[in-house]
Amino acid sequence: MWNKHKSIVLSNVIIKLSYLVWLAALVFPPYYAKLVYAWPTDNLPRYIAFLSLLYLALAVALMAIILLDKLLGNIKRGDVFIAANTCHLRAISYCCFGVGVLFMGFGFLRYVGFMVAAAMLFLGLILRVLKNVFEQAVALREDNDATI
Amino acid sequence: MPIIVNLDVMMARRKMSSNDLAERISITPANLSVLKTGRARAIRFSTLENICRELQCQPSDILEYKEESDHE
Repeated sequence: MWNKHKSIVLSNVIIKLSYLVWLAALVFPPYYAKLVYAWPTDNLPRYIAFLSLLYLALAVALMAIILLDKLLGNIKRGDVFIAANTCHLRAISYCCFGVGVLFMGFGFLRYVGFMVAAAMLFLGLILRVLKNVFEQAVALREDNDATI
Repeated sequence: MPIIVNLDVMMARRKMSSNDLAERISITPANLSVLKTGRARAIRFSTLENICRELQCQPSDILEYKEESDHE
């Protein structure tokens, strides 16, 4: 029978797998950058710029995975509606916005960048609204805790 | 907070300790302390009812309203 505990365990497993996927993803940017910008040396600056963009996005992705891990850790301990979780959600939304802005810049060179930017910006917006919900929930919980 | 909870006075009149009252009204001593020291934001009617029953008093005996400007 599915329950809350199993759901948290599944989320935890997926987050741990994400760390592994992130590690595996570290080897792909040079190959992908070569696909997008073929190797002739006159494309070298763009190749390097795109490669830097990919590694920057991976760094931000790692930050987001770590924050999700911390968020889930708090939830596992029963600390759901706390200010720290609101901060984590805010930070993850900023990660998404950051990657969205980076790929928007890339979009002027390759239109696919705009699609990635749109997806990341929308995800960041969803997380931001979720952060707003958590903020209200924290206030409600504090009121409830102070009600005797 | 303009609402003041004067539990200590009624508890002294009924010669009841905090732990005793907390046990009788089914709240923790810590929560009773929160109530007594004015840190509570709200009180449930059920809690107020239990307090009035155990201390044999009216809500007005333990709740007082004072304008903020009256505090020195």
